[in-house]
Amino acid sequence: MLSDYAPILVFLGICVAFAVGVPTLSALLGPRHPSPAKDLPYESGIVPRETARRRFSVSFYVTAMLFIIFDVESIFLFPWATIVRQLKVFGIVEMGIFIVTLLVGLAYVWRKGALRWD
Amino acid sequence: MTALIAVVMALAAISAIGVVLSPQTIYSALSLVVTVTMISVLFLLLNAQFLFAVQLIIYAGAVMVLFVFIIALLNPEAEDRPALDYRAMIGLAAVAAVTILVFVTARNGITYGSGGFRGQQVGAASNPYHTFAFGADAVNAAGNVQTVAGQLFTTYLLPFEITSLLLLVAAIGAVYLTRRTKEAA
Repeated sequence: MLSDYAPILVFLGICVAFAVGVPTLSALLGPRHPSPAKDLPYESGIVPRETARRRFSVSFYVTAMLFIIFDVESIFLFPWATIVRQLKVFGIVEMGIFIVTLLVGLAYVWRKGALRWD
Repeated sequence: MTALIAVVMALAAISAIGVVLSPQTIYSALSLVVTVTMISVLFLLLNAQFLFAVQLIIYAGAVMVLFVFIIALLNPEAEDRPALDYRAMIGLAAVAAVTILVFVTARNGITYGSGGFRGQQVGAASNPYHTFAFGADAVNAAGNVQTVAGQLFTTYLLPFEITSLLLLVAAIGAVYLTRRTKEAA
C-alpha cells in the first residue's frame, strides 16, 4: 500500500539532493568575483525600474476567482472518471447536467466580457 | 508509517509557525503552501487519495493563487504588525480552548444530531463515523477514489448537482460585483 509511494520518495530525495548539491558545489568549486550587476534578479536582463512590491490591478483578482470556480468543477471530474464505466448512461447524463449548468455560468462570464483583458 | 506521519506533522507545524512569524506577507503565503501540502500528504498517508488531490488542486493551487493576488492587491508595504496585547492573548486562549475541545470530541466520538450532543465509544458497533455499509479494508481494496465517487454520484446525486448551481451563483456573483465597481470608477 504505502510502498507504492516509495519511487516518489526516491524522486523527492533526488530533487532535494540536486537542489542542495548544485549550489553547494558551485560555491565550493567556482571562482567568485562579486559585482552589483551580478546581484540583479536577471543578469544582463532589463534593469529593474521599481520595487516588485506594488499594488496589482483588481482584474487579476476576478481571474483568480473564476479560476477557483472552474477548478472546483474540474475536481468532480476525477472521481467521476474512475467509475464512469459502471455508471453507464446515468453517469454521462448526470455529469452532462452538471457541466451544462456551469456552461451557463461560463456563457454569462464570457458575455459580460469578464474574460476580456482591458 | 508512524514515523513518517510524525515527520509530516512536524513539517506542517513548523511551516504553520512560519506563516505567523514571517516578516513579509508573501513569505507567509509561501509557508502556507508548505502547510497545505503537508496536510495533503497526511491525507495520502491516511489512505484518503481523493482528499489528497482535492487539497492539492483546490487549496495549494486555486486558493493560494487567490491569497497571493489579495496580497498583491493590497499594499503589502503598508502592513501593520499586530502587537501582542490583551486582545491577542484572549484570541490565543480561545484558539487553545477550541483545539482542546476538538481533540476531546474526536477522542470520545461525540456527535451532534437532532437529539442533541451524544457521546459514543469509537469503534463500537453503532460508530457514528461508519455510515458506509462496508469496513475500512473493503474501501481500500476497492480504491478510495472509486468509493467516494460511488457514493457521490449515486446516493448524494442531488447535493452534487446543487453544487453546480452554487458554482454558477459564485461565477455570476464574482463578475457582477466587479463590473459594478468598474462602472462606478
